[in-house]
Amino acid sequence: MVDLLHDNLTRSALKTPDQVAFHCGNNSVTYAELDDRSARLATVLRDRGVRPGDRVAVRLPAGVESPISVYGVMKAGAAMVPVDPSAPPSRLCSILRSGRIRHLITTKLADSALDELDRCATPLQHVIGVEGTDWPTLAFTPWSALDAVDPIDPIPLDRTQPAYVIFTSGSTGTPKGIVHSHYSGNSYARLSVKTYGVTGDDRVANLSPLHFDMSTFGYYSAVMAGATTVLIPPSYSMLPASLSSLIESQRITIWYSVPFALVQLLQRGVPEQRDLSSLRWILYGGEPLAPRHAQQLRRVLPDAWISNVYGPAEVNQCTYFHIAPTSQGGPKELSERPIPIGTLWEQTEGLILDPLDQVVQEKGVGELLVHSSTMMTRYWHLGCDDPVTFYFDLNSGKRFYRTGDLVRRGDDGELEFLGRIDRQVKVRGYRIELDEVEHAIAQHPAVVEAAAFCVSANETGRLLAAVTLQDSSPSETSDLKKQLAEQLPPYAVPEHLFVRDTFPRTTSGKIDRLKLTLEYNAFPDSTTDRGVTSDPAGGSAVPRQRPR
Amino acid sequence: MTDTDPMKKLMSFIQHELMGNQTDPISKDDDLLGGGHIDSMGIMRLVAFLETEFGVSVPPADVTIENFETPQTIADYVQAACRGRS
Repeated sequence: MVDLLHDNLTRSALKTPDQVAFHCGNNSVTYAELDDRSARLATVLRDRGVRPGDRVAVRLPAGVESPISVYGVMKAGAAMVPVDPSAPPSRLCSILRSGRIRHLITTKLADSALDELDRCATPLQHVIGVEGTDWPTLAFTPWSALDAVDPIDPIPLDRTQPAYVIFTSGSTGTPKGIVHSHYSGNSYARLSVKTYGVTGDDRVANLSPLHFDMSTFGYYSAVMAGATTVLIPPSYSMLPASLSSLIESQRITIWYSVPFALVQLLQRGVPEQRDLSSLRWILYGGEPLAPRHAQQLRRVLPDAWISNVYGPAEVNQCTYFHIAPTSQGGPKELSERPIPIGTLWEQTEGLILDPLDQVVQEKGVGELLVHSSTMMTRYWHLGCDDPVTFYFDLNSGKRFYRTGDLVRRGDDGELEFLGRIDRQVKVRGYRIELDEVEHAIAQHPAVVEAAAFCVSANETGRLLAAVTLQDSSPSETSDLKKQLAEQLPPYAVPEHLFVRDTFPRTTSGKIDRLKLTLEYNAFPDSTTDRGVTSDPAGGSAVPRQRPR
Repeated sequence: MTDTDPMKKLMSFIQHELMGNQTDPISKDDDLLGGGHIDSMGIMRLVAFLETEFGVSVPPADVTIENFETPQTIADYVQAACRGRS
């Protein structure tokens, strides 16, 4: 019985030691190498004081060091905490503090980041993976230390112990840690391997950075199946023509990304010039895919299955909706209605409740609650019994996670996603709490009031914000933008900041966000019309709402 | 260097428009893609800039890592595209 996520690695290393487990750029590691290197890293971590139950932060760009770190941390008995390498140092500090993290695996730390670490008084003591840096408050261990130690056997652990903690946007400005145990992570791996029939012959494209929960498929499911995961650096998603070349040359069989990357691939990736016939599954998640793009996808890849993957990071995946290839009974012309999130998968129960926690009848709209083997244990700073996070069903005695997503059961019984009950938005698959963005903006001394909002764009949301400023302050927002970039991850920094004299108000005097959204909805997106710079402000970083 | 120097215009666009003056000055051999300097929206704006500013047509097939890795590779690409046109 395989209980722990790293048991899957050990098993695949025994079965197919020479199979490539992870490939990135010009580097790759086989299962035997990954098993060995991660066990050596576990030794190094033990020697530096990591103990079962500890958290170890992993802040790495896409590369074979990532899986070595993931599995090394787990073999040392600790929980892996991924940190966005492109996020500002203040984000790293707040995660280190929240998670009480003493060990960090990374490739480099700029002096400014080291200063910030000192300034924030984090519990950090050891940095692993950095060569030749000298800093009074930290001990550094180079990556080469792995060569000098023997691999250890994994530390025995109970499967209910945390395996990884993903810190995500929290509405109060403090990141929220989603704690997944070996049990929930492994349940996800098992169910996804089964649902998508993943085998050792598969080559999985992983476009998601480690701190993004969609990476669990490439890092955990693929390893369980003994498949090869191709880690695709963010630069490829920016340059779809290179991305499509990579799919062809790497003979990718399973793709998993946010819709944005797929649409980029269709529109700018010259798919007609590539042989993409190796693809057998196109999985997308994080946001809806417009039916017209799904139709385009069907035309470009007639023999691939398309699957809408739904599930907040708190439950990994919990539903799917498959569109079969035409050759296997799938439709040639897809329906123009939104693609449903579909059917609950195995080991999962759902409830649709109204705001008073009463079961919604028939085809009514309500919040989806989920009970699943793939569900997180808890939020890091809260208990397993937190009543805001979970709902306890007295009939069944089961604990359900409140997704915050509004759904309805369609005529065909498939679940349809309708929106959020709160102010969480998605931009290119990333979860953003508008409250957090407003909180960050409001901290600037010149800001009187701030409103962050999302307008729809080509297959994803665009984050915008409007502010009113103190009379005396110059209506220049570059300082404010700089401050936001230091506080928020890049995807949560509004694309544009509009300076206004006043806000539209509702009758109760609150900022009328709906009106605001409608007002700016038509704000030109300089990226949708190729070759035409339609930005009225001439592409200025801080366009004005009206001429000064 | 004059104001009409393509490299200068290009660097100025990347520094001021794409990166919003938020980071240290970039140099012509900096890795624009790996360094987190630009996102996919930025690439699209950059392509639009090249097309309007230098009058070259940039087909999607040319928007590759090889051509867009650094300011230098972008300038080389634009120069080659200009030559191909004349």
